[in-house]
Amino acid sequence: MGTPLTEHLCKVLVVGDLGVGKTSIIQRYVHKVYSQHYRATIGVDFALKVLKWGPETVVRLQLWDIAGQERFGNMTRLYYRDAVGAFIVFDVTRASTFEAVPRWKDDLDSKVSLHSGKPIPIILLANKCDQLLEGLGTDLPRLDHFCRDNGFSGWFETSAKDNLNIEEAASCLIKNMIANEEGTDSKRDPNVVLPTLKNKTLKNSNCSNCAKF
Amino acid sequence: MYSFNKRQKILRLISQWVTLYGRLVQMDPSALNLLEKLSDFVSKDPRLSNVLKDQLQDRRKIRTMENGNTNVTPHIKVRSCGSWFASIEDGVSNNAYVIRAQDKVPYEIYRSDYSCLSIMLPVNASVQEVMSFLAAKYGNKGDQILVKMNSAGERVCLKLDTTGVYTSLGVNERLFLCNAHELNTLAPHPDQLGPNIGTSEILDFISSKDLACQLTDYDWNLFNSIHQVELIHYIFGQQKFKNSTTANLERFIRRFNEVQYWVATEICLCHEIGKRAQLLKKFIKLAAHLKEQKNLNSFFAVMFGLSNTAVSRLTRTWERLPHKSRKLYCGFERLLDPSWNHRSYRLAIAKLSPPIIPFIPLFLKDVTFLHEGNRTLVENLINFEKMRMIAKTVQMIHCCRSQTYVPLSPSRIRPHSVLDDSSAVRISTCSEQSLTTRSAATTWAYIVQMKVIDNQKKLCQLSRDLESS
Repeated sequence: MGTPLTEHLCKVLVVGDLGVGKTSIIQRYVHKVYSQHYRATIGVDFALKVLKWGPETVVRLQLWDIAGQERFGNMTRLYYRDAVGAFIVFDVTRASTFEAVPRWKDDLDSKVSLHSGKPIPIILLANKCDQLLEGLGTDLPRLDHFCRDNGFSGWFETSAKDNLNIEEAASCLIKNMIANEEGTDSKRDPNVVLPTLKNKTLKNSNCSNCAKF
Repeated sequence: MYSFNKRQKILRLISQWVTLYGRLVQMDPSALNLLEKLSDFVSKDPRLSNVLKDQLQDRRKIRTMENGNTNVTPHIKVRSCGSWFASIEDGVSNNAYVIRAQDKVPYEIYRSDYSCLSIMLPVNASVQEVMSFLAAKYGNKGDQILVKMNSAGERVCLKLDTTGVYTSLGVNERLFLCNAHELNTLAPHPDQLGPNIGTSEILDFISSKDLACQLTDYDWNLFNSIHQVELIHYIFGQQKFKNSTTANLERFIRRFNEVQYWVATEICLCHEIGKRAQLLKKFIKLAAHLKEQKNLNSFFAVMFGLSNTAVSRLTRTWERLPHKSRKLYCGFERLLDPSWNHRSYRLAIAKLSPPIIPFIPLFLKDVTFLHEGNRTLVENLINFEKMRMIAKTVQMIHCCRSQTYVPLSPSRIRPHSVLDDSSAVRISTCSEQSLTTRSAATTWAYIVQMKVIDNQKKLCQLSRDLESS
């Protein structure tokens, strides 16, 4: 018998304006095991990607797509519950979808946070970079600034069509999510004994921030 | 005999197609041409003529029975293609709320000085056409652009080939005509920011049940005006279907948002905590009535309003709620749970019988995922499985409306046309009618013209001013 695996279950949101390619990115990433089988019925409606993350760690990534509901103000709140990370996607060929990015950021920040009260890590995806002729091309270097100023954990130029940078973006987000989780443990001062109701509070060995299903 | 059977089947299919697409077929010259030719062909064959006659007669009979109308059905002649439409004249096509693709609608376009240009233009006019019309009427002043702006001041310059821009506006969005250099100084019209004073005093005089009845009546007008195919056009991209409009669906979507922001606005503009708790209780009761009336769309809209961060954070107000109301609210919240693809909602709606107004955002989600997640062509063949899944979803809309809805409020207060909403209400309030009808008319005017704040930041600010933590 090998060492027991640590499993992280992470709910990740994929948001952004209508038509920026959220669904295509998810499909690309999970290799089409998802919406190809979408039924308008009761059942699983998120995409699941299981990754081996180091020798003893498995990450189960639940990707939640909000496609089709972008226009319903508060609808997003339903889907945000218990999320521990997010991608905000915009379309590099359409400036208006980039202008909407701060709005999506506000939406996430106001409706979801980690148990520690910290905001969830968010990665910005500049999608459809394969179609980039002019558009925002010259502005892309400035995204570093933009991300720092707006509290993004990072950004990637992606193309669902050419399968560019999607894996990298996901890895970056996972790193941030796992760091957050470990952070909540390590920051605890070993000299301080926390009062507990019973002898010992049950501590789940899984990602404490993640949704439990 | 074989060919007769085939022909009979074709007639049946076409007749179903006409029933389903009715008014849309009537607008399409090539479809009319086909029906004309077919009628000619059928009239030469007495056996086929009889088949068609029977079919039309049956359809008509079913419809009159549904409507509880006992008048004798007139005899139908199969000659011109008019007879194809004989049975669809009632119902949807008579709904004064329907916006048709070739209709003209009043566009309101603002200038940077907030003067308003009100013009009648085709619902599907392109930005280019709107601009040319404005230039012809008011003269061309330099490099003008058409801009869409929301209440938060976010501006989008509209591309010249975009169509149907007016009917796709969001709740407090407006169109502005300005010169390119004015763009950055353009600020939202004061009306876009929404009201400064709540209407809790008006709401005090309307029972939550009356409010629910009238909201549902109005919703039925809007819901009935949507043609099922609009859902498909909306998801596949309206620009691909030149002779159609999705204006009715978009209006219904806008209404959903209007109702949710209305709830949040009223709560956030109610300064006195006792009154605010009363209002909260009233909205929970309203949600209960809407659910009972099987108006799930507005039920969800009210619940979304109540669960808006600006409202849900008002803990001191929520504490004042009677236990009963809080319990009711918690029960409703379970219906909102999206896990297992909205399992609780799907189970709940499956138990209901029509007429039902379904939760429209979920339809859009379903059709979006079915469309984006499945290829339309597989090895150059049409993916029929995908089409069937979409058809099945769209059929649900048909099923929800398969029983005629009987309005809950007095009929005379309802306007006859979308365009004279306000005047109709004015007439009925002035005439000598009973107090109940008059107050019903006031309620109608109130629910049709809701004034709301749709800027989430502003709502949150108001909420913090009410209860700082």
